[in-house]
Amino acid sequence: MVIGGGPSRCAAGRSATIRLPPGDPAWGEALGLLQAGFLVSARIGLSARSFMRDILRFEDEYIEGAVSTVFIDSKPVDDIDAAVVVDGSLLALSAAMPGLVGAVMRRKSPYSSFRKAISYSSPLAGPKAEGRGEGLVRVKLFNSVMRDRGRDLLSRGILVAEAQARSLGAASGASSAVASGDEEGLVFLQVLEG
Amino acid sequence: MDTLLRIDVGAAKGPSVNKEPIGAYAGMGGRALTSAVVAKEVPPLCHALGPENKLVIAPGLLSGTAAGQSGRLSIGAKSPLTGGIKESNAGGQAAQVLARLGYACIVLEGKPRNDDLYTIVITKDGVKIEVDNSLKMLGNYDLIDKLRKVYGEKAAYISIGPAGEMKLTAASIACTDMELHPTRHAGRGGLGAVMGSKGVKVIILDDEGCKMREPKDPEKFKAANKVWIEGLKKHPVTGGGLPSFGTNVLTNIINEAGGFPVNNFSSGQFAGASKISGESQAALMTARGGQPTHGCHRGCVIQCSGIYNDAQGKYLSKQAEYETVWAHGANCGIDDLDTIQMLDRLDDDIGIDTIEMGVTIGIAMDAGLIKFGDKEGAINLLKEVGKGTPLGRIIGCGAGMTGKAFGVERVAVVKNQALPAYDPRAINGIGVTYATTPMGADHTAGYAIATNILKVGGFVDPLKPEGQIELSRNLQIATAAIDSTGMCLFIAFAVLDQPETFQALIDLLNAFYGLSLTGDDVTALGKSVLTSERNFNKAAGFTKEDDRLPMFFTRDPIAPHNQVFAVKDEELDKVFNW
Ligand code: SF4
Repeated sequence: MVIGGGPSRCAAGRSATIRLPPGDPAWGEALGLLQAGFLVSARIGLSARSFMRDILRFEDEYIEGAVSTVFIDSKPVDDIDAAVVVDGSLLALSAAMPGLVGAVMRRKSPYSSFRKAISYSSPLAGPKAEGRGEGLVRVKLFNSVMRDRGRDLLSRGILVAEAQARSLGAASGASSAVASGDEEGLVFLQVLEG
Repeated sequence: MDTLLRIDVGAAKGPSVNKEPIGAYAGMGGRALTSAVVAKEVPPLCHALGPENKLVIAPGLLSGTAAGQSGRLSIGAKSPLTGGIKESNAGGQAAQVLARLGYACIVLEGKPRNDDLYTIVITKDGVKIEVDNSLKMLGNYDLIDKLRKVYGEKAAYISIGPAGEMKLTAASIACTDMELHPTRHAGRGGLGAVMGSKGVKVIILDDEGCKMREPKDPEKFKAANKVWIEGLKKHPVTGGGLPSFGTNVLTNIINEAGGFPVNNFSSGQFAGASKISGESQAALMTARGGQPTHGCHRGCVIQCSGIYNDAQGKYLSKQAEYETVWAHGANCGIDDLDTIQMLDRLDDDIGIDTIEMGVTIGIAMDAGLIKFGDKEGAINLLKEVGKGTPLGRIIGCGAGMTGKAFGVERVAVVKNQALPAYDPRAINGIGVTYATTPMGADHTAGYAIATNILKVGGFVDPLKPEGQIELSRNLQIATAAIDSTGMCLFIAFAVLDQPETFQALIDLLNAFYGLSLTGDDVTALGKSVLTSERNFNKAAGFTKEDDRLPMFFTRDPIAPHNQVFAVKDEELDKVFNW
């Protein structure tokens, strides 16, 4: 199941499509939705690696080479094959970060002892946990992961709060594209170039 | 670079200038040199603002050469904030210019005989010291605007603002960047107050007519520099994350980890983090015609220090760094980049440490002086510092002083210096460094350097996490060594991950000085710097009880992980067992 497919669309009360020219400053706000966090309706029980590969459509080399820092529910993950994404999980993805604490947060960091009190420890063995139905997962993309993968995800559609979609609609001058209604409700939002 | 420039501001007939051969300090640069001079020449029990204290300003071993990233300036003294030894370093143009002028360091000593304010001008032709009382209480921006008309656009300026003149214990020393903005500060430890106590407002460095420093082996140096620069450019952090987003790229990550202190260290995650993140900052800067990718000195390859324009597209400040964004942002409940950037500008203008000010304003908010999130209130409090009102002087003397004045228990300081932007309850390991570094709580004291490559204290197996004590020790040793080269600490990542880049750094040093240093020599250098700093502090009255975090860190858990700092005192006492 990929985002932009049926379940994501169904989880939203309504949907909206916003078109932005390539250099439009509103892209800043659109990508900002990804760092603040968006929802994905997807198969759950996948390992963090499988979630990135099958749901977010990251290639293996990209996961291995670029996504050096992974959090599940604010806990830094070392083993992305053992870490499991469940219904309600918050998955945050980042490149390698500077500074001692940036290094500490990296997967399999030689400095992981610095944060052992908060490190992720998997309650379930990854592969066995797969195939547990659909659920809602919150995803955040930071820094170069947001920059590299953001437009692709936006073009396939993400679930965001209606207020967020309307704010982007207003920034892009396309406010009418997003119907007003329940601010708390979810909107399946696609942002397309053009 | 084999001359020591000694200026006695208390000499009988006005400031005297003495040029000495470097002598016993030969082979040292940066922090190794500042700490060696302070440890040897400053009585540990002296008052930091008294005639016995000395302000030592030293470029690094490779500053003034063609080596990329080599423009870090170290400034050392006994700190009026911590009461211990201090080295604080800054980017900007000054280190390169001072090194090309041939000076290993400037030592300001003595006590002026009256209230006159001095300018010191250093060129290839010599040193000129003049009284200029028209500069009194000028902010750093106005000061440089005035001086650049006289001394030109090519000079580098090292100056203090009103905070330094008032000898506030959080005062910083500013260095100008490539555009002559006074934005790069030796911020920590109140060294601006020491410069103020010497009556020196500004040191103007002009290297016109001076050449780039020549290596002993130019061919080897050139080859090593090529590998060095390629290494920095190809690494995802030094070649990607830092240039694109600046150091504030850390906000989202540390916030996600629950280690981003909010509202004076009362929580570990900030709801407004994505509004003030490096990603948002870079997008806003681009939209306003600023420049996210920009260096603080010529020869910087990484270029993490952008230019931030206001809503009208006019220059406001440099791109605030991660620690500043945290201190003035999340720690004060403020989620507005324009406010944070204005506070950054005011800090630079007044000449005061951004980390200390953010933590202090957070404490003032905790005390109820203003509310958390009060943007105008925060700006006004900082302006009080610049004006020198009684309240401003309390705030300008930092977190410890303000906590006492307003009866706040939750005061995040070690050795009276405010903690930077990482909560040690979520990241216990950094708490070990905060507690034990001779510098007072300092995130750069144990930066990520290649402990594996250096094999400091034995090989660290990357798959088998070592103890936090051992790692903190190794990182502090390696950092002390790197601080002596004049290299910006952000090289750490490329050096950490790429053995050939680390080797290129050693090769640069060897080719420049005709040496044959090994990783072991670098380790020995780091250890000797730390040992002399610890000995100074011991003689100044510090005991192992000073190597502790405030008790609330071990008592009050922090959300979202509900952890406390759990490293035992006995463990902390082992950090310097070597
Ligand atoms: S990396 Fe950043 S702090 Fe370091 S020298 Fe370059 S601009 Fe300055």
